[in-house]
Amino acid sequence: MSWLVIKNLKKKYDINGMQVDALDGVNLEIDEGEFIVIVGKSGSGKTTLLRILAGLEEQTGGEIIFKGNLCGTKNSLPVGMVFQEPRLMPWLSVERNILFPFLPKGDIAALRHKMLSLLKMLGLEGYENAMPSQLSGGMAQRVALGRALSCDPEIVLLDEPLGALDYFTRRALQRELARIYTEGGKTFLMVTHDVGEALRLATRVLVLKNGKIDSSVPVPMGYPRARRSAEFQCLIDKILNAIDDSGW
Amino acid sequence: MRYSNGKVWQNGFLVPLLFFFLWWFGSVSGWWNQFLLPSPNQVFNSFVALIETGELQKHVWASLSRIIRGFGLSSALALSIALLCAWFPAMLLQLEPTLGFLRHIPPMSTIPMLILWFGIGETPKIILIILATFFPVFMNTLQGIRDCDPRLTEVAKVFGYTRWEQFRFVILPSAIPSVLTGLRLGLGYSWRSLVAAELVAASSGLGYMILDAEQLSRSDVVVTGILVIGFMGALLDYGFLWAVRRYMRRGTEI
Repeated sequence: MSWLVIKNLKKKYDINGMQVDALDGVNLEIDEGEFIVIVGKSGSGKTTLLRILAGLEEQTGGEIIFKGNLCGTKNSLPVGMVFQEPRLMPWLSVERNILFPFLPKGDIAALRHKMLSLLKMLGLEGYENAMPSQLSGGMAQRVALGRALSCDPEIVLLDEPLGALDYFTRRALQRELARIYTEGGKTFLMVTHDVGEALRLATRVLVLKNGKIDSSVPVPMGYPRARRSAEFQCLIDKILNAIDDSGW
Repeated sequence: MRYSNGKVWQNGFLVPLLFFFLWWFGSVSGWWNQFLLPSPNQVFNSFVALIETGELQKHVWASLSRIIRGFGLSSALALSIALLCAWFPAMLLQLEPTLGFLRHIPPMSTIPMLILWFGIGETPKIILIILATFFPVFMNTLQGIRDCDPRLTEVAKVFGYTRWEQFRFVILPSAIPSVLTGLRLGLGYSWRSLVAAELVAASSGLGYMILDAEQLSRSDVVVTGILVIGFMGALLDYGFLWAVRRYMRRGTEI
């Protein structure tokens, strides 16, 4: 059995009495250490899938099995999550924001070394006492990534984390993500609507369509990836065709 | 030159200086009867005399001690009820219509009943301060809690925070600015309501000092009392703001 198995996952929303299927039977098997990127049009259910895995929403049907154990409200997945916006606590310093998962446990001082090594990894050395309002969008998103990694999660969920950033910051953070992934050996599950970004990072790209996995495209390339290579362009075409088969 | 130094002009002292100049100039030019508005000189002399006899300190302390007790009690009560209402929405549902009714009653209108029930001692004055201070603190605290960005509590949920931990580490800290605004407003309200209570029935305090001077036709003492009240209120407000800014500089972590 695979490391993480998602079986017939369903989610219905009630919008003014109308039942809308956000997820209509998602089946997925993920191995440890994969970098999965989910792409799809708006409303295809990408974010809903991630929110269910993060425990922020409950599925209306289906199962999530992690290492052979059924996950539920009391047995949630060991995840860290980065959202589209940094969602930093404005009253906490960078240090405290990174160690946010540990605040209720107290003894933050003992984790200072961990926090400093995360800051170094994210290129934020010297910013531990800065407040979120003093950071640029890219820096704030790095802090959010540091927060997600600080609790050493087995799965890192990324919900369009670079969507609100400018082109250059985006590229820089894509490189950082690829480096963190190759160095850290964690399993990443990311949602994006940018196919180029998906191919720069993923070991496998999943196309979500109408609440179902439409296709699964392995990306057998190392990092960094040459965007202009024929292989890269071929994969882009393949994924774009899978997302939109209208012929345009 | 002073303008470029940026002291007197930029700190907002221009208006009070102009006011005092007009007051002084009008007095020496005989624009009005000195009984209706005594000159700055007369007021200053009566201020010095009141300090020398220890009268002013006695009344200031009497008013201040009422504020400390009333505002402290009221804030503790309002904060506790607001936190309970935030934690137990059913409690707010039960209390909301009653509080909505009580909120619109001016505390001053309760003075006759308070005197009837509690006499003219300290109790009605403290109750009056509680009534005047409760709602700004309660409403602002509750609003601050309600305004907490749900996206921030989602972050806490992802990291496995319990409901209490979400409340303690996300909702409460995010409500702090609103709570402080409520406390600051409440402090101003408590000062104003106290002086009003002392004007009606008291044997000490700045309100009493003004009423007593009025009966003795000492308009210089009345004006001294008014100026001291304004000064004390502003001082308390500045003191509160100073403490808040000092606290904020520490990062507002609670």
